Amino acid sequence: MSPERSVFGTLVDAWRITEKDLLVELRTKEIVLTMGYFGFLVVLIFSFAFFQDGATISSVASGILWVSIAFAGTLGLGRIFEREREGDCIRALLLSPIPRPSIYLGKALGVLIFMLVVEAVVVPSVYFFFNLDLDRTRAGVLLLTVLLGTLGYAIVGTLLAAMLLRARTKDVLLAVVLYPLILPVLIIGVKATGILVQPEPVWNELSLWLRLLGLYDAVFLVASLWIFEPLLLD
Amino acid sequence: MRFDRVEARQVTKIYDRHRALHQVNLSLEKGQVMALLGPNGAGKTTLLWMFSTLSTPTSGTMHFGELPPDRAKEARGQIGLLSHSALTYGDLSGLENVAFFGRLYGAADPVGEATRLLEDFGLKEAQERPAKTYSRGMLQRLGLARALIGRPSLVLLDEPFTGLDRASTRTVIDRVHQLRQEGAMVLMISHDMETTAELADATAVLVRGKLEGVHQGRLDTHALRARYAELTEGKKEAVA
Repeated sequence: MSPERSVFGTLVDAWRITEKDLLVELRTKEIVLTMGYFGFLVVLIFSFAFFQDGATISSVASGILWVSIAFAGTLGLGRIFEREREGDCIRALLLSPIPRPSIYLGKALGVLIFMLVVEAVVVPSVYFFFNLDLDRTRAGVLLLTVLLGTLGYAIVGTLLAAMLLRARTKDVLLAVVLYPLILPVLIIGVKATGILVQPEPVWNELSLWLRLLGLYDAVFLVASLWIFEPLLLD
Repeated sequence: MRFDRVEARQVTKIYDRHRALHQVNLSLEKGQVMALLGPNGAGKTTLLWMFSTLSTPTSGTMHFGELPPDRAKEARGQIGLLSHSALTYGDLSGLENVAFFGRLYGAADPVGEATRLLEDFGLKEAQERPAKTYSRGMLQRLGLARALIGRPSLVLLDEPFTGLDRASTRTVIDRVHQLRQEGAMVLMISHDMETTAELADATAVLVRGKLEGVHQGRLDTHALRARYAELTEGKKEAVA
């Protein structure tokens, strides 16, 4: 990290990159629309697949929510660095005096925002199609679970998308390397959401899963900031 | 951190088993415009990447002013690069592109400075249009404006005249003269002998990754062609 830039400066630079990605997305709408459309379709298809005796099976809702988030997220990750590759803009970013972690954080924040926008469609869809009955507390904890899980997904996914920036078969490779690494996020997400949709949630168990999710996010964030710079050399 | 000298010392670069550069020694001083010539595949762009810090030597060292080689990346903010592509975002306007990089370089007034640069390069009328609607020549000028927004000490130009009409070529030539007067160093790859002869204070010829010769001082077009032919003859394709 460049010594003359403070942590605050790093965050400001990161926000500038996110801001640029948001501006481009606002104009093209290609990432969020594609992800949102795909995520909604996954939920819709599964709601028909798990329709029995005049109603959907709500116990599978947690799995379907996270499958939908994971698949839609992969679509977004594939595109987020593609924009830097087109026109070779990544070289201009790398040549600028901003610390490399700013580039990583800026892109990861962009992924997080895009995914949260998509989840604003996917989560209510799951709620609606799978007839979930959540009170205000459980709905709040569900949002916290989704936020922590999405954060982990964005942290790891952005790193891998950057790693595969120059790979020819990056679309295939991304899924191959991403899913084993985010498996803990998906498993914890499914378990925590599963607890929340039960009539009597086991709060202690839920708390353990959420702490594990937070730990995963913290560990991978630190590791990603460490790895990102050498990853982009040459 | 501005610097007034850059130097490649015994730089070798090997990609897989291919040796792109072999023990190259090359330096530029403040206010010098150097042309880097050579046939296709000679390693010119690889050497330019070394000077940009975006690529590191397999052996040898890069020196930017007083910075030790292991801190070369701190020179990044003082290096402007125009590559084969403009390194700009197609969905942003010309002004947004240059102002965005201006912010990353810590410009005091990114929009104002970007506007002035775009005006200098004849892009004022088109500055609000998305860059993807620009012609090749306009993109080249936009790329140059982007490269100069950080007021670099070292300007690296890879084929800066490709796709430019006569008027745009003149604009770029005048800008390079201005950069020299301001004390910047310019390392330029070009196959255009006439323009090179007009601009270069020094000429380096690279063939198959080896520096075959460096001529300090100006050469007219005829002398430049003769020198180039002398150094490259029988080693690779002839000069265009």
